[in-house]
Amino acid sequence: MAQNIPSGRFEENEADKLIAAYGKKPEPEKQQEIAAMLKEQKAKFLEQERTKGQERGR
Amino acid sequence: MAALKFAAASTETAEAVFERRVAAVSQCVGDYHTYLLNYLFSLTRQWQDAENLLQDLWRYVLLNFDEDKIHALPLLRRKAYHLFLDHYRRQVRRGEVLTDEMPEVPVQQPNFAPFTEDGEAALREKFWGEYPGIDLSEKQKEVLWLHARYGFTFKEIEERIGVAASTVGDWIVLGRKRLAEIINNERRN
Repeated sequence: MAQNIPSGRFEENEADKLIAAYGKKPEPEKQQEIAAMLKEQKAKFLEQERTKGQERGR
Repeated sequence: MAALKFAAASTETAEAVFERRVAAVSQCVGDYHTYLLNYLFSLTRQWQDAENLLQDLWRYVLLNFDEDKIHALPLLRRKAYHLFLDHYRRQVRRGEVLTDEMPEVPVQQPNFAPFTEDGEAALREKFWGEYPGIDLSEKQKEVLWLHARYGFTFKEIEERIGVAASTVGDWIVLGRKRLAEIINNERRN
């Protein structure tokens, strides 16, 4: 098991991949999928804001 | 009645704020999604886990980040790392074994923006700007960028910018080390 535990450490040999990926846009379908997921958070966000407002009002 | 009117106005404002935040996060998704996916994959070694964590990250950013911090890559990276840790701890609690034998879900290849020299130069500058204070000379940054971004060999870089191939190799090792140091150190701050 021990050998399967990820160290969580960012390894030097991964640096090239970050450089290669930097600024590369995701596929339009992926962007749309994420945009839809974000919009689904609206009710949660409004509820969160309402709670904050109530706490500030106390 | 006045209270109702106030509540309606507050809701409207919150909705406007939400729309503004969605736009800011969407912009961020365009700029950093592929980068952060690779970053998370470097931690999880599973594309599907990296994808899921990244979705969690965008949700978290939308709901919790200060608006002026939404586009801050070091903060995004740090939060991504914390989400990875939570994910890992959950797996340990459940007794799930992390192996590379789990089925891989292929991730679509990123959509490559049309190459322009000016665009790439601006991106390169922006990239290194994300790591202020990194202990590398401009030439060393250029060498690592040419190798990692375009796959130029040491010899090709020597021919292109006149730095000996052996030095190019040393600088690439150094550049990777410095980048990793910054990324690993920011988690402690």
